[in-house]
Amino acid sequence: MKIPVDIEPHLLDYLEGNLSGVTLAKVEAYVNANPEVLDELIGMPTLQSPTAKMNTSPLIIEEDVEQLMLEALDSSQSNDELAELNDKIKDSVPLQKEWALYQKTKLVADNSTTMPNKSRLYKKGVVIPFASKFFYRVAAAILILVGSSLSYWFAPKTTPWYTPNTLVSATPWNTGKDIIVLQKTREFSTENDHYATTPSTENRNKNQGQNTKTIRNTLDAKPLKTIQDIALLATNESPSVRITDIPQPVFTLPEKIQDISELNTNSYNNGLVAYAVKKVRRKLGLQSTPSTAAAIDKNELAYLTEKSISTITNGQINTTLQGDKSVSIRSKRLFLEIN
Amino acid sequence: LTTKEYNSAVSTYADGLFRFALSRTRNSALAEDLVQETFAKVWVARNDIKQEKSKSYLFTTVNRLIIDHFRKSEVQEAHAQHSAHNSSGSSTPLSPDVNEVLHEALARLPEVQQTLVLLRDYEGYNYQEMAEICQITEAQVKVNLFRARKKLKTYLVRMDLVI
Repeated sequence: MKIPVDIEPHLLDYLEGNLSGVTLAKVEAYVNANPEVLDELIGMPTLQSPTAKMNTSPLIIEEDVEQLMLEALDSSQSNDELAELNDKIKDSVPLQKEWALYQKTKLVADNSTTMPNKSRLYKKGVVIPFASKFFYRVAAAILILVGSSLSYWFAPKTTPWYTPNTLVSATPWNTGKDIIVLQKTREFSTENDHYATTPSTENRNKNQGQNTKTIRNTLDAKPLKTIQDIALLATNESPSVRITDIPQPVFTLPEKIQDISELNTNSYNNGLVAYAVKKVRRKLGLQSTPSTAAAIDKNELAYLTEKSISTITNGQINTTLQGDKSVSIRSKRLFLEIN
Repeated sequence: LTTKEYNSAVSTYADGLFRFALSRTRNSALAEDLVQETFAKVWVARNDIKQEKSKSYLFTTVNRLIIDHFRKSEVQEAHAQHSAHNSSGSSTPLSPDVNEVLHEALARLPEVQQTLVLLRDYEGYNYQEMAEICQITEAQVKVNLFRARKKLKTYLVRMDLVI
């Protein structure tokens, strides 16, 4: 067989496993296409039918037997094949010697030789799964969740949590549900002893340009019962406000308002309640906007006095009016607005 | 590999790896270092190794380390010269042990043939597994193994004649 000139020089290296890259691929392709090349090269012909060869050439038979021996050494042969090998060599002393020699080429591992200091190789203790992909995935998910939560809580609010002068519930007041009523005492004058039912345009414009600081107190936690409590709260939460800045109550209401005429005894009361009622009615979409306490519906008044005012202050409307400082009261919570 | 599986691999394969490395390097300290390095590499890559492939991975790794070592330090050549010197110096061994003679013969074989004989005889790997470990084809495994056997047999015959 004629071997191509660009293949032949590399065949031995191929057999030794020293080739790589393109050369290896080229030689391997050639060898796969021409397997007999290897047999010629190493003097080990492909296993053929022993009987067929036996009749022609004793030398070839011997090579076949040799191949059988090698196969028997290095690959798992069936019992039949081993029996065939034994048959072939049983009558030939040289072949038996040859087989014995080949068998001696089998290395035997010395099992008494063991790895020194093997105990050093063992790993002990809890392994923190830092290298685990799962760990990184979980950590990333937690970071994303925490980051989202923080950004939600600390992001600047576009709308305040509480909007002054806003009716929280649109449910009609006569359902018994709490209605928030806010009053802006700025619009009531302590000097002129009169009430106003609507904020003046001047004051409204003035208010728009001011920073209103709203202090929220939860009466659920600590009910405020007296004007001193309110004053204390105001000073605690707004140190700039001194307790002396908040005067004593300037008027009182009966324990429970039974009739609209009771309100007429004090114009402050009228103004206060009328304004509150007006707010409620406006928010509820009612058309009527009473200008005086006399125009207020009795039921509305009862609702307001019971739910909004008298229940908190135990018969006294402890509303402080002075300058820019004001106190607004609603039924179950109290808001201090210090303008 | 979990920690438990890794430790199990140490128990099962460390001795075999050491014998393999020792047969190749004929240097106990070096063989120990190579086995330790092999297990260190396996520990680092344990998350990517399946338990059923751990043995193959270990032998592949140690075989590469041995090759790298020989290539870097040219110990193989020096070792061969040393072996040749020893064998020529002791012309008539008093009590020649066949296995010892074989190991001497083995040291004279090409690198890949040494590895194949050891993998076959020590660990009982088949052609396909040996091909994977040595990163050659099955045909090359077969041919190299046959050539190695023939050379070993020839060496034994020579030694027989000497004795």
